[in-house]
Parts: sequence; C-alpha cells; structure tokens
Amino acid sequence: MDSLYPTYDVIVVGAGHAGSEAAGAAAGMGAETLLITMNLDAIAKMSCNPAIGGVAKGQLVKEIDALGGLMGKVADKTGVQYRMLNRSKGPAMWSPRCQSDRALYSKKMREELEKKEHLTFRQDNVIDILTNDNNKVTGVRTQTGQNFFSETVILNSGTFGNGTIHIGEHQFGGGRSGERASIGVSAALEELGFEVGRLKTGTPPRLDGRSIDYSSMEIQYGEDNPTSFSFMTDSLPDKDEQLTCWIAETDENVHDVLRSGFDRSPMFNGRIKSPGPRYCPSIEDKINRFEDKDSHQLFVEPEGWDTYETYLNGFSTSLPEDVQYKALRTIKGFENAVMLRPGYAIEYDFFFPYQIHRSLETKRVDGLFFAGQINGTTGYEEAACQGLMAGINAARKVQGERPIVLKRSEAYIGVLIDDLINKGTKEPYRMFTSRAEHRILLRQDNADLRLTEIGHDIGLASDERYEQYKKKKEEIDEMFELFSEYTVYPEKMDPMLEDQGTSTLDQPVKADSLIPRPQLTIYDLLEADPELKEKAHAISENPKVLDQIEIQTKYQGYIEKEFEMAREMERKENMAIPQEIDYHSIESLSTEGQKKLNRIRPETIGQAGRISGVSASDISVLMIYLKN
Amino acid sequence: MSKENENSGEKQQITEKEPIAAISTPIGEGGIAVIRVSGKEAMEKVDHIFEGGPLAEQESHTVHYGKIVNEGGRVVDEVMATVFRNPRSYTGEDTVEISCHGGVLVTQAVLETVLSAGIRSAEPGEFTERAFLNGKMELSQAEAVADLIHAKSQKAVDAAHQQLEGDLGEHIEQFRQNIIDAKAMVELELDFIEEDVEFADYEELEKLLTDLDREIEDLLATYETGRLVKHGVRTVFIGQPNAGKSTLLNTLVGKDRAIVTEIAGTTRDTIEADWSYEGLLFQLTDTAGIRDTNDQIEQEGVKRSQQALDKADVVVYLKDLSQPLERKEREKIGQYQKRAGDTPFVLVGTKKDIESGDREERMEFDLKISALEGERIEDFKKLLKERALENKHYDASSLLVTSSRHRDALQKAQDHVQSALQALHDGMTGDFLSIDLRAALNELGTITGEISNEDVLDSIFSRFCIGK
Repeated sequence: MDSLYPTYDVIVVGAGHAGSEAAGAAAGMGAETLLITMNLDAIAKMSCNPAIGGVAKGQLVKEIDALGGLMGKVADKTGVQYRMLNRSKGPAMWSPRCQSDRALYSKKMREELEKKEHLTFRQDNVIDILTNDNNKVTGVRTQTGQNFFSETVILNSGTFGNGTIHIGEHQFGGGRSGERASIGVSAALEELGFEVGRLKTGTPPRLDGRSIDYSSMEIQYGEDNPTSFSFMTDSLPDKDEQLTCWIAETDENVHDVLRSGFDRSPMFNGRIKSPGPRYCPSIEDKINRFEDKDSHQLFVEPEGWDTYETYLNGFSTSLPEDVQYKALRTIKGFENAVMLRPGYAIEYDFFFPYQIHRSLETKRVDGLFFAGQINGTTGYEEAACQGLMAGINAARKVQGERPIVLKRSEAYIGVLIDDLINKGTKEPYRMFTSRAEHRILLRQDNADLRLTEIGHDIGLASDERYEQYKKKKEEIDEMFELFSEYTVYPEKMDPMLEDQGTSTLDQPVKADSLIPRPQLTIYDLLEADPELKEKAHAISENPKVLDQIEIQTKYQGYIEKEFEMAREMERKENMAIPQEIDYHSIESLSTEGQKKLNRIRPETIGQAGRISGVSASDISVLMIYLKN
Repeated sequence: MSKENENSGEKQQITEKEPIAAISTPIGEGGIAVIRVSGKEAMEKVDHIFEGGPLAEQESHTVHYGKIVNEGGRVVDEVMATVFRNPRSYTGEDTVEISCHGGVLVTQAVLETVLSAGIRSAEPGEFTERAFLNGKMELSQAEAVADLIHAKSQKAVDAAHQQLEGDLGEHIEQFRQNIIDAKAMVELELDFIEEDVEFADYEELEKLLTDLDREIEDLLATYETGRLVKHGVRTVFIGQPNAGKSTLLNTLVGKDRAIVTEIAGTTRDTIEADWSYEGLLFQLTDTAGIRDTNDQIEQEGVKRSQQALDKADVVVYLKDLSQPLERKEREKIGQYQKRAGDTPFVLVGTKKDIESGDREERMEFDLKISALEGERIEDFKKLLKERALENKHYDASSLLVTSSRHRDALQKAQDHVQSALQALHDGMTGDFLSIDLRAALNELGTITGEISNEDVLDSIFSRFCIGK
C-alpha cells in the first residue's frame, strides 16, 4: 500500500472537542500530526448547548488549561456571559461556566490549531483503520481512496459513528443536524474485535430570538469581574458587556400538548432502544417520569453576539415536529415562536470503555487511542480532556516515553478515565463533583498548582505558563510564611473583629490564626493592619495568591483529612497486579469478580477495588493471593 | 504464578500447600481431642507415625483405628484417624483428623509426634485461611468461623451463626443506605445547582442523621453484651483470706463439670476457671485474699488482684459470716464498692451455716450462702447472671456485635455521622457535610464492601427530576 503523503506520528480522526485537543496536544509536543475531519468548517462545533463549564465541568476545563490544552483559552475568547456557580458553597464547589458564541468558538479553535507548527489538516471521511500482522495500527484509509500512514491513531468519532437522528416517526442517518454520519469505522473496529454498543442523546429546538416575547421571563445576568477558565487570561468583560439569558416555564397546557404526541415518540414506542443520560432527559421524559410536577424551567440562551438564533435549554425532544411546534407555541412568551431547527434525538456507536488502558490506548490494537463520546461520555469538557490525554499519550508513545496517567486525587480527568475503565457506563457519562472522592483537593482555583508542572515536564504547557505558575507558587509560600510569623495585636484587630461580629483578642496572636474564623476574610485582616497589608503586597499583588492562603488556611482541617484519605488510597494504588494473572484459576473469587477482573485486567489493587462487580472479599482474596 | 500450581497435577482446582497441624478442639475441654493435619501429602506424612495404616491408600471420609508411635517406638496414644481427600475437606486440601484422648498432656504429646513427621504447626486461623483461599467459604464466613471456633458457650455459637447468616450485614447495609440517602440530599444541591429541583430540606436531613446516630448507638450498645457472650463475663471474687472464695468457685465449676485451669505463674495470686450457666460463660477469678501486708510477695499478689478487679464485669465480695465484721473491713468494702464504679458489685455472706450472730447487722448483704452445703447456691447463680447482664441488651434472639473490628468500624462511622451533624448545626455547606458522610460510608464499607459514588448518583436520579 502506498500513500501520497508522509508518514505521520499521530493521526487524529475527528475534530470535535476531543479531536481538537488531541491534535493540539500531540502537535504541541512536537509530534507530526494530521487532523482528519469530515468538515474543516465545523471544527470544535458545539452540537448542543452553547456553553462551556458548569459544576465539575468548569473544573475539567481549568485542568485542561493547566496542562496546556486549548479549551479554556478559546472559551475565554468566545464567551458571551460568565458566571461562577455554587459561590455560596465551599471553594471546591465553585465552578466557572460561560455561555459561548457558538460560531466564534469554532472559528477561534481553528485559529489556535492553525498556530501549531506540526499540525496538518485534511477534510475527508475515514472508513477504515489500517493495522499490521502484529495488531499494531499503521494508519487510516479514507472515502476518497487515500491511505494515510502513522505510528498512532486517535479516534474521536463523537456522535458520528453510525449516527441515526430521530424526530417523531422520521429517522435518518446523520452525525449532527445538517451533517452526515460516518459509516465504516465502526465495522472496521468490530472486525478488529472491539465490542460496540449504542447510546442516545438529544437536543432541543433552536428558535429565532426575535419571535420570543421576553417580557414575562426572569432575566439572568452574568457577573462582574468574572473568573477566567484559562490561567493565562488577564481579564474578561464585565456584566454590562455580556449578553443575558432568560428563564421561562412550561405549564400543564404545554404538558398536555406534549403528551398528545407520546404514542408517536420514538422514545416511548420502542424505536429508540439505546440508553440516554438520566441527568439530561428530554422534556417528554421529564413529564412522563415526574407526573406530579406541573411546571419545568426552561433557559433561553443566546447563541452568539451576531445572531438571533436562540437555544431553548431544557426542552430537548424527539417528538414529531408538529407536536414540538404546537407545544412550543403553548409556552408563555413563545406564542409566535419561529423554529429554525427542530429538536431531535441521536443514536450513535460507542465502544465499551473496558477496552482501553488508562492511557486511552486500546488494549486490542497497539497505537490506537479512543477519546470522547466513543468511550461513552457526554459533554464537551469530558470529551476535550480525553482528547488532551490521548494526544499527550500518543505523542509520548511515539517519543518512547511512559504514558501520563493522572490520579483520582490529582485531577477530575483522572477520576473520569478511571471511572470509565473500571465502572464502565450504562448511560452517557457526565462528570459530577460527587464522583470525585477527593473533591476538596480538586478545586478550580488550584488546577495550575496541581497540573502545570506535569504539563510543562511533558513539553505541552509553555515556558511562559510555567514561569507564571512558579512565580505564583513561590509567592504563596512566602505569603504563608508572612501570615504564620506576623503577629497581630488587639488594638488594631479588635475594632474590625467587633464589626464582623466575632470575638476580640485578649492577647497578640499570629495572623494566620484568625483566618479560620468564618466571619473573616483575609482582606479584613489586611484592612485592619496597614503594615501587614504593605508586607503582603510586597510579596504579591496577585489576588489569587491571597485566595490560596485563605482557602488553604480556612479549610486546612478538611484538606488534611482528604490528603490522609488520598494517601490511604495511594497505598492500594501502589500494589501492582501482574498482568499475566489468570483470574479464572483463583477459585475463591466470585464468578462475577473473575469475569470482570479478566476483562479489565486492573493494574493495581486500588483499581481492582473500583471495578463494579468486584466485591470487597474478592479484593481480600486477591491480596492474600498476591501475598503468597 | 505459584509453584504449587505447577506441582498439583490434575488437582489444579485446589492449591495444596505444605502440611500443617494443630489441635482443633479446645484444650482440656473434652474426653476427646482432635488434631487436624492438612496440606500436601498429609496422609503420607501421618503414615510415618501412625501404626494401622497406610492412610495414603484409604478412601475419603473413612475412619481408621491405629496407634501414634513416636521416634523412640513408644506408643503415645490409641487414636481414630479420619481421612478427607482433596477437595472434599474443610480446607479443600488432603486432610487427616486424628481423634485422641482428651487430656492436655496426651494431646500435646500426639501433636508433637505429628510435628516430628515433617509437618509444621499451623498459625492461628490458617486452616480457615486455606479454606477461604480454596473457595470453601467467603471472607465474612471465614471471620465468623474463626469466631465459631472460639465460641465458648451456646450463646456465642448463636451470635456467630447469626453473623454467618448475615444479620449484621443487613443491619449495616441499612445504615449504609441511610447515609447514601443523606449524601444524595447533600450532593443534589452541589452538583445540580443549575437544576430546577427543590434542595435538601435540612430538617429532614437532620432527622435522618439523628436517627442514624441513635441506631448505630443501639447496635454498638450490643457490643458489650456481645463481648460478654463471646469472651465470658469476667467475674472476680474478692474478700479476706478464708472467706470461702475457693470453696465457692469449686462448688460452681465442680457441679457444672467445667475445667479449672491453673494459670502458670499466677498461682500465688489468682486462680481462674471457666464456668457456663444457662448459655452464658463466666470467667471466674479467685483473687488472693486482700489484706494490708508488708510481705513483698503478698503485696504483689494484692496488686494483681486489684488489676483483675479493674477489668471485672462483675465483682463479688465474700464476707465470712462466722467472723465478726470489723470497722476496717467495712471501710474496705466501701472502698471496693466505690472503685467498682458502674461495674455490678455483689456482696455475699458466706458460711451462713456457722453464722456467728448479729454483729454485721449494719451491713446489707445481697445474699447469704453456704457453699459447703449447696444452700442457696442456685440463688447465687441466678443473682450473678442477673447482675452481669443488668443494663445490657441480652435477648437470645437479638443481634449482637461481637467482633471488635466491627465495633471499631461502627464507632468510627458514628463519630463521622456526629461530626456531620455538628457541621450541619454550625451552618457548614453541603460539600463539608459530604466529607464526613463519605468517611462514615468508608467505615461501614470496611465491614460490608466498598462504597461506590455511583450509588449516590443513582439515589439522586431515582428521586429527583434532573435535567434542564
């Protein structure tokens, strides 16, 4: 077989949120990379809601950024509204979210990728994966009849793998509204022995914003001085310069109209068999499952700066178009709504994630990586972080380096990949903070402190980013020293303490001993003692440095408790399991335990313990077995 | 992965290891003792010292009469040897069970002869570990079996059976489910802040946690009883020399045919014996007579008596009624009573048959007995049991926590639940409550299995309408 083109280090198939990060990371680390997409004008397209971040997802974006990925940077450049969710909760819950300009996001991502030196683009449709006799990937073949050779291939097929779109009784092949599906790759993978499954997701109708009457809706503003996703972004526009969203509501009349179409719903008449996400149900599903709820909230979100197209968040549906349309026009404020694109459900192929290593390389084919929805996840952020890790590890493989595997106590990214491999997923997997046992360690504010060193070591995070991180880290250390050594006196503190409604001092104390008081912020101390303020500012003017002192001191007890639990877990993580074990020969294991362990082949006792179906007594058996 | 696997030929299912032996019956507690030998070539090894074989050629589940003969050619004991072949044995391995005569010395001599045949002494619990590794039982069963082996009385056997059948597991699973529900309430408003759902009702959460705290407390309270049931009621007899302590002790154990074991090295000060009454085991300790003395050896004895007193579950003070009650002794009794604190303290008058009159009129006795004639001894037994179990949950059908490991895990889980309640009262947000709740789940998980974060999400999705 020949190719017109050079042999690449990495071929990235698909240019959605996973593919973009994969290509950016591999090329950024110096690997000669080819990005093949069915449509070069649809790079990093937001197929569903025009927003980035949110609870747990915002943390993922900050981690991607800290490692040197692109999503945070592009989101900061293309946001139309910014908010920090969960601000009333502890610092680990703070989660940045933005509404994005859909078209601009795609454009800016392409711009970022075009800046990468080692990256080549190609518009084409991959129909086959090429492998040699040793089950090693050698490249891909495309619909245009071309072969492209490479050391590694990263597949990010999103919802395009055998995608089927459903609207009422109509169904047709497609990867996204207005785009065709990708046929061939799934069959090629099955041919190679991969086990394939189907998942379902859905999206709401898009409307012409001018046809909506907002007068009765609650308005939702962005924030002043928003927190950026990227640690490299200086500032973001204030509230006045941002767009607004609105909150509308359904009522029983709307529900009645929707119910009238249930018999024609592909969800209810059995045409769609694949499981969809429980946390992102269609409107018909919500009405059906929670009958006693007579109203559901809808969020009316702008799609960008220079378009009237509007997204109706919360109204995802695959009911027949006439039912969608009629129900829509029954909603208060939407009596004259013009529908630009109907809502739809989409079914697509994914490959059960037990088939990948923690590096995201497949166990079956050497050099082949999977990232994004192909592994059963949902969400731009979930896809992007896998793309990033697959890109990093494909480049590492070509460079002859060991893969980077992030720990559960180190990053949400580590939690996500570990969950996928060990627990599998019955529905599209979305990140939640409750999935992370060490949530208080995995904060959005310290993603750089957790990960930038790793990103820089592997040659992805830029020197500029690394210097900024190092400076911040040094300043934090100095600042900690200042607060632990500086003595504050009752004369200066007491008036402020009284003002804040907390007890006064009966003797001088170290400054850091006051920070844990819930009524106080670190800034109260600075204001009460100008000398302390001066000394602090001499160390750093960066508010993020002071924030770290405040968070780490205030929540020290909890943080230490979590570190202790993480260390406990680490011990099990460090107990390696030889890969050649035949679990079926260990009689004492439960039958399900044997089956799951043989299939997943965990690398450590810690990992084995998280596999669903492997019981605690199975783990004890394994540990006794390994001990002997 | 192990050598055993390569060597075991067709018997691949069971991993046979070096043979081990141990006395499998309680020492000195019966007419017959059993020495179990298990492992690779168990029959062949035993044949070296067994006259009446060869056992190596016998079928599984057959019993053979023979003699254990030591190196010097002397017959150590006449025995019955039962052959169990892999995999149809307790451990799954080839096993010989040698039933010999039950005396301590004979049993020990048989064991030593067995060990001389190239068989090593088993570690505590090693048979059970092998049974477990060979798939003969689950871990929780293995733990319960270990308890079963140590069960010294019927009640303890019941408690061990209950655990085998999973009563405790079910209870703890219920606690776990309650915490998962509490955690779901907390997580809902953390992960789904953007959703149109009603968030945690803090009063409901508080009630759930308060109830949970109390239920764990109730289960924990059974541990004291569980411990009494499993290890016996530590009963300490004190009193002046010749108050009749030994006589009473001998009357109790003699009548119930329990064995008195003299603990080596402590004969000068305390004598101990196990005695079982209506399914409850008592560990009786006869202390040295207590009196002020300058004799160094006696002082040491008195010191040990007082230590025994501190560990006692019941203290029995015996007063010789044939002797007048002097002021000094009355004060002493007061001091002991005080020292016993919450521990039940029973004041018994002895030698009622030769009571010397009414000089002790100012002392209120719980009971007066005469051990020699058995007079009112039954009353004493009833009183002892009653006092031992006062304020304890003792109901033959009730669930008891008997393992200290389970107690510790429950205790820690309760601590975490309480600290979550505290955090709730302090107005801490859900993310901090959640840390305590997860820690509690982890503790319970050490008893029943791992906690999966997925359980919490499942609980949320099944109860709330999520998704905008």
